[in-house]
Amino acid sequence: MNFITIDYAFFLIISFTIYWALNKQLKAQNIFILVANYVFYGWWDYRFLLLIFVCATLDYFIGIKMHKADKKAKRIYLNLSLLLNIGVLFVFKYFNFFIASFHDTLASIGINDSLHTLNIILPVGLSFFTFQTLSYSLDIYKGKIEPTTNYLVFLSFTSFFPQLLAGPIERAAQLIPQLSNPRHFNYYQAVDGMRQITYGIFKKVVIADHLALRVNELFFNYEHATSGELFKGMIFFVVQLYTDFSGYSDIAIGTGKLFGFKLVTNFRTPFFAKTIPEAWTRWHISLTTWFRDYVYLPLVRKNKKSLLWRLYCTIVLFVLIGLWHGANFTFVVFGILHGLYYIPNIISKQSSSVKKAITYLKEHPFFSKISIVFTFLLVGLTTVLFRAPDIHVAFTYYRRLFSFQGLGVPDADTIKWAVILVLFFAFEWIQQNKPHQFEISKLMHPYRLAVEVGMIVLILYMGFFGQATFYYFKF
Amino acid sequence: MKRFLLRFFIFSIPVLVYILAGEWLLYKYRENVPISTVISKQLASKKEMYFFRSFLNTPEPAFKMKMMEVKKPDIITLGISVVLQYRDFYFHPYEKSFYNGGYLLKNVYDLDSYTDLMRKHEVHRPKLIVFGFDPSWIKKDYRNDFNNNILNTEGDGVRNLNKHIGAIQDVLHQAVDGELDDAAFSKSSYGKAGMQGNGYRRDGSMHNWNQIKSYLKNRHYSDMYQFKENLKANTFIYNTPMEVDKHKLKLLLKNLEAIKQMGIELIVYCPPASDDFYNYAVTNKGFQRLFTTYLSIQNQLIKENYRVIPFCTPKQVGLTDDYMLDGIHPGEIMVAKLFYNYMAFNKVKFKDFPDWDPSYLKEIIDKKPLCPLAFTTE
Repeated sequence: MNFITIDYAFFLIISFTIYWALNKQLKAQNIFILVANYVFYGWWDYRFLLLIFVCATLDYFIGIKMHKADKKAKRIYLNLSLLLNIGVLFVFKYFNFFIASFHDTLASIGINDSLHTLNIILPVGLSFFTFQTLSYSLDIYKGKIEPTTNYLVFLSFTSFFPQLLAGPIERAAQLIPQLSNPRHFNYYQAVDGMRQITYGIFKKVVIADHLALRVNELFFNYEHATSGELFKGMIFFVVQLYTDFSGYSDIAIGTGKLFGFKLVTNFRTPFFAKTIPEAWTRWHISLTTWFRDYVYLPLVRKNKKSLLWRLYCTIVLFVLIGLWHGANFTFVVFGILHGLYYIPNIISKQSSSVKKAITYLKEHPFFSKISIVFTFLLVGLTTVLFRAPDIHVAFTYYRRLFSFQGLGVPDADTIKWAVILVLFFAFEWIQQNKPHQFEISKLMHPYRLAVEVGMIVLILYMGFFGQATFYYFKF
Repeated sequence: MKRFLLRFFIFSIPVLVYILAGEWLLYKYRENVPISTVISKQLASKKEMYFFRSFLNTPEPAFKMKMMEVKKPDIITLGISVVLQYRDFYFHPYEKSFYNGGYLLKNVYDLDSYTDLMRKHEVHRPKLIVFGFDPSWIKKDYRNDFNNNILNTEGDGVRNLNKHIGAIQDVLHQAVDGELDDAAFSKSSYGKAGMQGNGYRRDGSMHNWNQIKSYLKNRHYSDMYQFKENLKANTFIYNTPMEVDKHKLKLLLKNLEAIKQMGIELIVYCPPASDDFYNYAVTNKGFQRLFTTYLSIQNQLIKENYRVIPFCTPKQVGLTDDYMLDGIHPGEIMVAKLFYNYMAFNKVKFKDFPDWDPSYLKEIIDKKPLCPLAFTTE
């Protein structure tokens, strides 16, 4: 079910009503959540309900067995869980990519193979689902958490509908206790949730989907576009990506609040980051912390003191983050570029002069602002790889972009959207230190009311209701 | 909880007002009448009524497919907008057997699927098809290629609440901008465009009131949808590449042959272009490339004994651009003349329609119409 549909509005109202009608009946509430989760996912594609149910069930039993097992058996159970989760991900997401790449490699040396790709579709939200269950098994293995023995709670944890399709990726330690304990309706939390949902919808339908129209057109005609137009396409796309995905996260977190849950923050105004490492602590936080905790830190610990090893681990980390997004060489290059961007930060850990320089830039009143723009542009450049269907398109896009031909005068539509985006980022700048950017509870009542009603009117009047899905659903 | 529900209700009020106001306007312009009702009303009515929506979608393939299913016409036209000017009385006395299926098919893949359905008798198999063959059928990356409208038919927006949201927004935007006019052409028609006289008639043909109105006011031809400008800028239906898609061409020829093999009489109609448009188009390299192949296919079909009403411009048949709705769409009178001339010159007789009387059409053509674009302005 797409958040931006009437279907979801009805679903949410009905679910909310039934859920709180079952107040103080924890088990009944959890059964209802599970049913709601499966209805929500099945609305999208019922064929994959069995897949998420079976995977969750196996992980549930593996978790319990692993916890009781000795060290050697623990390892076996962990491998079993890894095999299950990564296996499912591999089959649905990466198999065709590897087969096609292998086929191309063989073809380039004149060997024709008879390998076939699978005719399957990627279940929506699979990467989010598997990463959530993977972290559960890994945390049990490391002794960070104890497995839940409540099957219902575990099934609800793996399929919790607000964040099932595109995150935030929740950790068991965060969500399972909330599912295991009674929830009480909190007026302020619910109001805050509604505000966050409203802002998420605003970002999606007023900003992201309008920009998407322009970006799609530019990427469709990139071979004929001028450098100025391609620059506009790049900027619009990076903003589209942010407003689309953070909009989704806001709706997910806001929905969680309506049901008495606190989900993790996924974005903290990433475009105001002064360096690339800072940007990564503000963008898709639940994914970056996942990779940090389960991939990067364990890997780095193997040879903490070696600078080269750290650099290697950083590149590996970002290539994996890239590949998490999709099975395409564009994501590999995306990862390598971000790994390279990260190098000054790694060096700064061992070189005081580099560290000083970075700190100076970050703290200088003028250069810190320039750093924000520079970081934004660096991130923007790599998102071309996110949007391009293949590496050839991405490189052609870059080539034409840097040819600096036809910078020209922006048209009226571009100016209009530039003004809208400036206003939007001004609002985000003012609100950047709040838990979410539409947290306006401290405003005086009449102003707050005006802002809230204004936001609703903006959505209704300017929103693009073309039923576009969220960009991150494809991951 | 009560406090929250009260707050939720209060904030829902602007949303509800917005939805109700929008729905009321959709109701007023008869946009929210389902296509099944429109079909039954059109079939039952003795008076002409038009159907075309301005805010909710007009799902032509679903609408025309359903109409074909109910009406089971033995004479149909197939093609995109260029065949929409064929009227039922061109086939007098078989008016009741006719239905204009223009826009049921939007691309060659639709044709392929529809031919297959006819072959399997899963849709009514007509006895005579007038197929409008224009360059879009063979153009690479034609704008309507993205969907197979027969296998994946767009549903009726009336029954899709999500589509209502977009429609409500559109109608309210127009209301705020003062673009909604109350002057309804036909109160018994459906959809805002239909009520203003632009829409599908009961026989499936299109009443183009906008162009007719413009002509009656200015008394000269105008390319209302700026096909010439679009060709110059390579926009709209003239997006690059302006090339022939060999696969599409092969598919088209295969399907025309398949229609003949089913024993259906086939007339391939190559629609005219205005002299104004054509004189520019032949200087455009992309168009030249596409059109040269197009004409060679037309000639190939003639050689292969297909009945082909060939491409022409108004000047070539003794008319003027006043008979054209725009650059690439002829008015009804021109279509009728081309059709009649071809039939009369070739002494065509239809085996399944022995009583077909071309003199009836001739009589109508010879009466001086009010406007060169349509037989009546109704």
